[in-house]
Amino acid sequence: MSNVSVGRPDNTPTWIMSGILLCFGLLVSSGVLTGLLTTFKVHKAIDLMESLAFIGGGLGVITAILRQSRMDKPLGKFDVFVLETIPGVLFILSLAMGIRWFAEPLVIMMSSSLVPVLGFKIHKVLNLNYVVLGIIVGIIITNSWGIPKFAASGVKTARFVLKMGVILLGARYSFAELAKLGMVSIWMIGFFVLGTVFFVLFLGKVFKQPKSMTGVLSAGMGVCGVSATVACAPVVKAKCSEMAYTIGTILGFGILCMFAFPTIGKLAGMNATQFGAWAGTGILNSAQVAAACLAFNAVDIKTLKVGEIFNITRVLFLPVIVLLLATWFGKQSGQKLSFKEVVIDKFPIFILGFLLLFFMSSLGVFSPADHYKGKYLDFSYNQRTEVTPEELTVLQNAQLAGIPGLNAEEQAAFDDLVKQHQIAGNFEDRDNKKVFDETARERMRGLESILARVKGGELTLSAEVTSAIKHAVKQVQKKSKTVVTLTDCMIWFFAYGLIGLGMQITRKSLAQAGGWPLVMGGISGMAKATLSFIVVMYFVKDVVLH
Amino acid sequence: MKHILLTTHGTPGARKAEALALEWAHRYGAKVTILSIINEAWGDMTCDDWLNTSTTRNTFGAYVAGEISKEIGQLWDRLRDEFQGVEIDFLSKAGKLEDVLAEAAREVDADVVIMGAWQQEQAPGFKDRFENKRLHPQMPCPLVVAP
Repeated sequence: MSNVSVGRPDNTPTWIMSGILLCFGLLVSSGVLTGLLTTFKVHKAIDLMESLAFIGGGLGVITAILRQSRMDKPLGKFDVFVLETIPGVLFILSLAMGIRWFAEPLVIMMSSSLVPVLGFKIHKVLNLNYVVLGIIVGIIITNSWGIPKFAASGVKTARFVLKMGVILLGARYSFAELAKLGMVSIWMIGFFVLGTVFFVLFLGKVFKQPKSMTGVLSAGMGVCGVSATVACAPVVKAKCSEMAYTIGTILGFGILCMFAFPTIGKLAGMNATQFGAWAGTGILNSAQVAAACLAFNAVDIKTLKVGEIFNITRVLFLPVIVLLLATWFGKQSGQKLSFKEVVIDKFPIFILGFLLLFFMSSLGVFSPADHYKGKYLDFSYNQRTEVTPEELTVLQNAQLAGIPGLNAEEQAAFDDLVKQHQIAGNFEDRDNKKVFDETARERMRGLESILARVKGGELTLSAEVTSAIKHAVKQVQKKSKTVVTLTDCMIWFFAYGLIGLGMQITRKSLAQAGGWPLVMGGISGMAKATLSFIVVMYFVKDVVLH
Repeated sequence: MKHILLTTHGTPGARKAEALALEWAHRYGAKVTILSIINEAWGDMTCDDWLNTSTTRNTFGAYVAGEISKEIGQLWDRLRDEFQGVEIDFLSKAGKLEDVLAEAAREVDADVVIMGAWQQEQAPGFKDRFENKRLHPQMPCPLVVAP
C-alpha cells in the first residue's frame, strides 16, 4: 500500500471513530438516549455531550478527508503535528467520554447492587471514579492489545494536556490561600524531599551500593518519581540495570500509593487540605498525586488544589536536587556540568504558565471583584457544583430519618438537593433559562432558610448535615463564567491526560522492579509516606479555600 | 554446519551457550555470528514521566542508547578475545526478543541458533525472557538450548 511507504497508519479507524461520535451526538440531541442517560444520572451533561460529540466527530471527518488526500505524499510538519495526531486525540477523548458518562455510572450501579452480598460499596472503597477508571483502562489497553498504531502519535499529547491542566488550575487560587498553602508546602516538601534524598544516599552507604544507583534512586524516591530518574540518570551516570530496576520500583510503588492513599485518607477521616498535603508529599509521581486527589474527591477540586501546590513545590525542587546530585557525583567522577545542563534544562517551564494564570486571576482578569463576594450565581448542571458523595450520604440519611420542623418550601428544597445532588432547576426546564434559574433560586432560598433557622436555634440539625447544605449553597456562588469554564476544561484535561499517561505504564517496565533499588525504595518510600501522614494529621489544619 | 548464530547478553546462563558455540565452531570449522538484542521495552522506559521537557527526555534516550552500546561493546570485546581462531561477526538488533532472533537467523542464513537455558534466578540486567510459544514457530533453523 502506498501509505506504508510514507509511514501513515490506515485511515479506517479515524472514519469509524468520527462516525461513532457523530452518531452519539445525533442520538443524544434527538432524545433517544435521554432515558438511559437519566438512569445513569448523567443527563445533566447532555449539552456537553452534544458539543463534544459533534466537535470531535466533525474534526475527525475533516482529518480523515485531509489524510486520505495526502496518503501518497511524504509526511510534512502539518501531517506529523496535526493530521497524524488528531486520530489519537479523538481516541483518548472517546475513551474519556465513554468512561465518564457510561463506565463510571455502570460501575456505581453494579457496586450498589453488590451491597447485599459484600456489605459495602466496592467503588467507594477502591475509589473507582472516572479518573481512576481512566488510568486503569489506559494500563489495560497498553498491556493487552497495545496502543493502536493510528493513535500512537496522539497519545503522546497526554503529557502536554496534563501540563495544560496544571496551568489552568493556576486561575483557581487566591493570593491568601496560595500564601498559606505555599508556606506549608515549602516546609513539608523541603523536609521530605531533602530528607528522602539523604536517607536513600545513607541507605546506599549502609548497603554498600554504587553511587550511580543510589543517586538515581534518591532523586526518584525523593522528588517526583520516574520524571526525576529520567532527569538525573545521565547526571549520575547510572547503569542500564540500575535505571531499569529504579524505574520499575518507583512505578510500582507509585501505582500502589495512588490506589491506597485515597482509601487510607478516607478511613483516617482526613479533610481536603490534609489529604492534598499528604498525597502531594508522600506519592512519588506528580500525575499520580493529581489522580489520587481526584480519586479522593473528584467533585470538589479543593483536594486537587492543595495537592497540586505541594506537587508544584516539589517539582521546583527538581533542578535543586539535580544540582545537588551533580555536585555530589561530580566530586568523585571529576565530571563538570554547566549550570544550563543541570538547572535551566531541567526547569519545568509549564509552572511559569501556572504562575501567569495565577497572577492574571489575582489581577481580576477572569473574575470581576464583586464576583468574589458571591454575587454571581451559577445554577447550571455540572458535576463540579454537586455536593461530595460523602455529603450526599449524610443528606440521604437525614432525609430517611426525617427532619422535624421544616416548612413546605424548605422540605422541597432539601428533597431536591438529595435528588439532584446540587441546587438546580428542573431538568425539563433546562432550555428555559429564566424558569430554570427561578426554580433554583427558590430552592436556594429554602436551604438558606434552613441554615438561618439552625443558626437561630429554631431547628436542630447535625453539624454534618448543616455543613453539607452550606457546601451546596457555596458551590453555586461562582466567581465568573470564565473561571467556571477554565475549571471544567481543567477537569477534562486531567481526565484526558491521565488516561494517556496510563497508556505509558507498561507491564515490562513494572516487571523491572527488583534488586537493591526495590529494598531501598521500599524502605524510603514507606518511611516518607508514614512520616508525612503523621505530620499532616498532627500539624496541617484546614485552610480556607475559595 | 557452516554458520552458528549465538545470542548472548553475557549472563551466567548465556555463558554456557557461548562455550557450546565456541566448541562447535572449533569442531565444525563454522563461522559464529554473535547477536545482541536490545529490548524494545527500553523505548517505553520514560513511562509516566510528564514533567520533563522533550529535551530532557531526548537526553535520557541518548544516554540510555549510549550505555546499551557501551555494554554491548564490552561484551563483544570479551568474546573477540575468547573466540580467537574462529571466524566471528557481530550483530545488534532492537525489537521483540523472539521476532529479532528469528529475523537474524534468517538474515545470516544460520544453520543453528544457540542460546542459554532458562534460569531460575535472573542475572542483573534487563528482566525479560524468551517465550517458547512465540519463538518456536518462527525459527527457520534448529534451536539449541545450552544446558
